[in-house]
Amino acid sequence: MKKGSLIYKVVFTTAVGAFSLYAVLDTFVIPHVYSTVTTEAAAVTAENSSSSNTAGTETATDSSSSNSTGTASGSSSSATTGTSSDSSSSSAADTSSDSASSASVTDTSYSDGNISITITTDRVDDTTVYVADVQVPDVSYLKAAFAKGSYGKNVTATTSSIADSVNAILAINGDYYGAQESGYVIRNGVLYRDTAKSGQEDLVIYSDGTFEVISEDDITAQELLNKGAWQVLSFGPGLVENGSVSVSQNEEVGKAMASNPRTAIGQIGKNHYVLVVADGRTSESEGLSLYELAEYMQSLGCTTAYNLDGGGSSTMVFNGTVINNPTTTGNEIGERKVSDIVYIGS
Amino acid sequence: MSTSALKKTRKHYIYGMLFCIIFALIYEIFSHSVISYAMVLSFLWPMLGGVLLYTLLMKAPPRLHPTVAAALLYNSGIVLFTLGSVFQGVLEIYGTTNRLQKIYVIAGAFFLMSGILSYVLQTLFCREDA
Repeated sequence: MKKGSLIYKVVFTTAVGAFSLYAVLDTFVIPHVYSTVTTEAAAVTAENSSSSNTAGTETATDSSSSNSTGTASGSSSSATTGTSSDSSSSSAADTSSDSASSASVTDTSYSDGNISITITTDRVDDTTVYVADVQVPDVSYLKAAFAKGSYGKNVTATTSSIADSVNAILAINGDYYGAQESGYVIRNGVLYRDTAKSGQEDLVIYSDGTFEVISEDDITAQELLNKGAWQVLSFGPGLVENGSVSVSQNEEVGKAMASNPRTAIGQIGKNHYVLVVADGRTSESEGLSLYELAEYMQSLGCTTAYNLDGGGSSTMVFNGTVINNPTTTGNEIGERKVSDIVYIGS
Repeated sequence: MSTSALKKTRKHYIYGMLFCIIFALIYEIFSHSVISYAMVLSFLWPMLGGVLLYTLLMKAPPRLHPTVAAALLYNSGIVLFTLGSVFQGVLEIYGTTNRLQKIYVIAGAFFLMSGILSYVLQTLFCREDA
């Protein structure tokens, strides 16, 4: 019996140890690429009405059969995006190209015929906050991109490198969808993940440029797509809705209970947005609570504002330069790798 | 199981409990104030399911002592629940999820129930072998 007991202990310990090691690697290390995205960024135009919604020429191609949650594939992408208008896309591309070549760029501003970006730095609650005020002719200029051009789990890259790969003028980190196994993912009009997460608040950016905070309990991803969703970001919570702060003073993301670096996005008016990043966890910049961030977004004039992935992920890149001080530990300034970015590009 | 074997198992549970407490303390120090109750309270599995239970069993008459097989199955369940709790804590602190987490719960429940069932059957039908 003693020998049998010993064998059982050895086998059990080995099996549990191996499984635990795999579980940790699966969570943090092993990349699972579900689909690859090819973007012809210049040929993207979103019209205001959903009937003439042009979701661009972004296509997703299956590279793995293990995608149990995503619905993006070569065929389903084109089925789930809006109808493309070749002529308008070409026209937009020409205009963008012309505009880009005549762009006026400084360290804190960018302006061409279509896009206007102004970066300001503010001090709020012992925290340094970077605000990018963005005005675009339509929401197609407000885009999202995946790390390494691939939708998947543990597929990551720094915000600046993703921004560089898509020629972003301005970029912030996104919702880090890759850290979750549920929560809607719709990017640039393509549905990638339709698995709802109970209680999850999403930001929906419609093709007419309006923002709305919704609960995944109330609507399916496909319904959002049918309503003209251009981007769906799944982090949260919503900070400002209908011009009012929508978080309580004690509300926090998950189990976090402290001031932290933050990233947020908000709408001020039609095709007028703010992208905000707050530094934190350093002696120079404490970081903001969700409530403080919500109050700040409201003070900027946001009618709708939404919290994106924060902490070490919080990064803002402007014209290829990281303009904030991203940090995970507070001891060292450096970018964390993330799954995705939200960016302004022509 | 003899009383000395019970005592030895209880000692292992005390080590496991201490490990959970120290691990959670260190992990929470570097968690940027993110609190995971699954992590912080993981020590309760070895404490209540191990130290406390084995202390009671040591005071019980020998006929109520578990067989080696029943104890092994039960202990496996407690180990899986403890590891699952720690793993859940790691996921919560990082702000992520993993479908594999439920394996700990399912396997832990299976082993725990098997151990308890084995113990119940043993005390009902094979008391003289205990």
